Amino acid sequence: MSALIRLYPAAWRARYGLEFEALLAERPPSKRDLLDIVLAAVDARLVPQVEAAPVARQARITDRLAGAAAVAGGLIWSATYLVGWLVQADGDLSLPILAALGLMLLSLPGTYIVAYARPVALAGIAVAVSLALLFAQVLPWDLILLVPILAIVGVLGPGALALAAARAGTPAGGRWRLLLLTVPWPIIGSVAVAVGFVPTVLPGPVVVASFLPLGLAWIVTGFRIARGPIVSMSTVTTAGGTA
Amino acid sequence: MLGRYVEPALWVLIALDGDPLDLTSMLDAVRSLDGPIGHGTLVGAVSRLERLRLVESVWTGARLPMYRLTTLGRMAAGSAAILKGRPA
Repeated sequence: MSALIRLYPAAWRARYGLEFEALLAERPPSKRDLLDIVLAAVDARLVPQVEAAPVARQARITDRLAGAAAVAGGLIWSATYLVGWLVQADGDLSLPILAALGLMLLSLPGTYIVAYARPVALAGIAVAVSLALLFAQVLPWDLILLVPILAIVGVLGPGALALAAARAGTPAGGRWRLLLLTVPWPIIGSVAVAVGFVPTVLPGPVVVASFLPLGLAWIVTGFRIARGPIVSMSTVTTAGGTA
Repeated sequence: MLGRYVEPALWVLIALDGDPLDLTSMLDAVRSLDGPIGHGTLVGAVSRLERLRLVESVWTGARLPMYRLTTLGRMAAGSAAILKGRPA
């Protein structure tokens, strides 16, 4: 009987599959019923009545930890640039920035990493290469700093932030606005530093203004993840029913 | 919206104008009212009625959900019963 159910679209199966299977078991279909099921399955594909909908749930301890990691990552990220700008000390900022990136990565555990394994792995490789270069002292620190920054803004930044925001229940429009407000500016700031438009490797107002929104976005998103409700990436379907 | 499911949907509304039913009981009830109705047509009608908020599923602790009329559905069921010459 499961072959009959497979004729229906996935969203329909997720919603009605179990009870339809029970119906078929309790009232075995005649040949005429079989034809009816096939026609109804075609109809369900052509005129779907069941739409996938994200499922919200209470935040669990793993979500709270992930949210805390996101907040900590955003705080470290923001504080690094703010303190670097205010103090203007000739120090190495790459370690706290890398730590912030690591915490942001840590905030995307479990199914999220599984679902988005490739971009997360690419970002992880970029961060690992940056760390290796840092410890090997191969590149000057400001260039090393640019590598993870470009990694986060290019791969991890939009992907991870959108992912975290989705998990926090931010609707699609809000996620796009979040990305627009945070992601382009670090890229512009990085390029400005790289081409010498901003004549300092220490954070100045331009660099801080470019990079701070991303840190703040992570802090806000982290708080929302920790507070819940959490929107599951795996979807079930409803057609208006109440549980 | 309802297309070829108009007729079965009317019978589902009439069948549900009482206690909540699961799909199997609903199939039996509609068949007793209207003669043969296919499994696929039944669920197709139910899914459309759910989408129209005329019917809702409720979980009463059983493994499978039951279906009942919403407030709007009860009004529609009254009209359906009149249309089918089965006034409550």
